[in-house]
Amino acid sequence: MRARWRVNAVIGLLVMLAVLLAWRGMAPKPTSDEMPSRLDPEITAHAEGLTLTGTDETGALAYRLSAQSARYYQQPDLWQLETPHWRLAQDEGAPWVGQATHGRIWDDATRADLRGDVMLTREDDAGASRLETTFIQLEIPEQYAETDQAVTLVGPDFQVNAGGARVWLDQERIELLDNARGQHDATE
Amino acid sequence: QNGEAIELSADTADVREAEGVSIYRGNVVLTRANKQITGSLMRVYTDEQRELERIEVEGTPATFREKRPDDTSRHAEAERMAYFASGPERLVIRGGGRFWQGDTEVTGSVITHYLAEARTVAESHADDDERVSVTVDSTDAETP
Repeated sequence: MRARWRVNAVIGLLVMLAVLLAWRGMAPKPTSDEMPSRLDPEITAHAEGLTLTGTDETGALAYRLSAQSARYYQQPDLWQLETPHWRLAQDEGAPWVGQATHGRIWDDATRADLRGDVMLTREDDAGASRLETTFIQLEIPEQYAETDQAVTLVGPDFQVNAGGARVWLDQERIELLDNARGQHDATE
Repeated sequence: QNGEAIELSADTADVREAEGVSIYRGNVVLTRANKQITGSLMRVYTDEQRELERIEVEGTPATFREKRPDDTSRHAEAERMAYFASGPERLVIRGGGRFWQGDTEVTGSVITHYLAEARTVAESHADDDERVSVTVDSTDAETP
């Protein structure tokens, strides 16, 4: 009894397989422009305790980026980073130092976006300036960053909140957009 | 003078730390305790220690109001003003503005109002056709 059941099950499976193959055969092949826009890239490499370092044309440190763990995808040439920390050197004065919960860096390490608890800080003799947001895009060689998310800029004696920001890192210039609300301490 | 914080709101703020200036643009309102200044543009200057030095205000006109309990609020109007938060706290009204309290009004090319002392000094320049003028309402003997 059990043997006949098994034979019937096998025959049934074969019939279903035949039908499936036939149906696949008739279905139109997707042309290249209908291909899913985002092919899920395969992980090429996985790293723990990663550090990426970039230098300028004179060999001086331009940036250093480290991450607790990272995954590299060769096809889009993209690193996905967990708890990235980074340091962007400046021609003059203190560097910009930053951290985030997650990050991605691509395009020959010239573009990055950072999410989660994002902080960008610069400290000199007169105090530190800190930019806090939940998302920021970095254009590393251009020393430029921008966000359309809520942002807080904290300086030695002031704080400004706004709905977005554009940052020119090498000029120490931060434009706060969309309803800027500042508070400046005034000493005696 | 006092150590109260200065609150600013505007459409945008452009913080240029290397230059020690923050530029607030569009519907700018500065509030400090019972004082309020409005304008279309405010430049907040800080010194080397990055402490607040002065605030330059532009508007059409820029306005100042100091609310006072017994309804003798003080007001000022001008195209340009400068507010010094300390050293002493004062408002410098330029560009031929005017300053008034109740029915008493002061005009001149430069008017400086010292807030803590409630003292007002008006100046006019030799090459300037704007003369100093003080109008005191005889029924209200208190000068601003």
